[in-house]
Amino acid sequence: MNLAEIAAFCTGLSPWAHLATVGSDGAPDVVPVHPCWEGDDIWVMIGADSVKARNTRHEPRVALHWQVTETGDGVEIWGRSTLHSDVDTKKRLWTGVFDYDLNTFAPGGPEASPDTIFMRIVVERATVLKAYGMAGMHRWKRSDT
Amino acid sequence: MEEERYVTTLDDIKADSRRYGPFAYIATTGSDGEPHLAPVAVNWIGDEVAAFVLSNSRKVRNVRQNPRATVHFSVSEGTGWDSCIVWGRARIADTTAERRELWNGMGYDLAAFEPGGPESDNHVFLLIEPVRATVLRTYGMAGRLSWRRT
Repeated sequence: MNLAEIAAFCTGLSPWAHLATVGSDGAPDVVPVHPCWEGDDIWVMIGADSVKARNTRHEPRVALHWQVTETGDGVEIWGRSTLHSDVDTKKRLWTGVFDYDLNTFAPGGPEASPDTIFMRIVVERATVLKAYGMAGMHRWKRSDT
Repeated sequence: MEEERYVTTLDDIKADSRRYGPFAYIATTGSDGEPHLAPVAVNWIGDEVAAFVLSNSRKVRNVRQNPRATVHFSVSEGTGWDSCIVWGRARIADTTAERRELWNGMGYDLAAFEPGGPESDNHVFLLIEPVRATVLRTYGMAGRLSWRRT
């Protein structure tokens, strides 16, 4: 599977994924997120002062696990994150990238929601598990990492 | 979206966590500082979150060098998109005596995954003693329950 095929597979899973980050003290943290793909990149809407935002300012590497379906399909992603708070990026993401209404969580919209920012995850490697791996496992790794 | 905070007990957290079913995601930290996530079947054994896992898995290797671990139970529409997160200190129970003691505590037949029984070194128990926990109601928009070990 290439990354585009993995992205397509992810969109057929649960809308939810579990995002792990690591704090400056080495403690892992994991929270639910609703990620969306834009090309090869993953975007997550987050709070500017959330634990995951603070953690990735210290350690940009993240792990993301799409919630496993009832049939045992799931995807694990490892990647490198960056945080984006500029209005131009927010306006671009606000419509057309996410598959849910961001105004539900940030009623001020892209120009008046200073507490809302976006995390971009550049995927470095991924593992696709079908039926808990019994129906196949596919690994992908970015060639320049 | 006013957030309410409650001081709750570990028993409240344990009871709430059972709403989400047996699957959870355990986050650990690698020796190089990279986070790792693994889906596992979990159960409470006493006051610890327990998982029966392969001895050579990455999460076991990670816990042996950094015992900090976080558990996030599955999220679903059926539970109103609530979340239960438990932060704690993990240990690995890898002796035959420990496996025998824990063997019947997971709520499912471990022999289906480890025919060698508790004597086999292929599997171990990963046990997490909670230090703090949070339940987020509808992503936290409908409030939260928090507990911290004192």
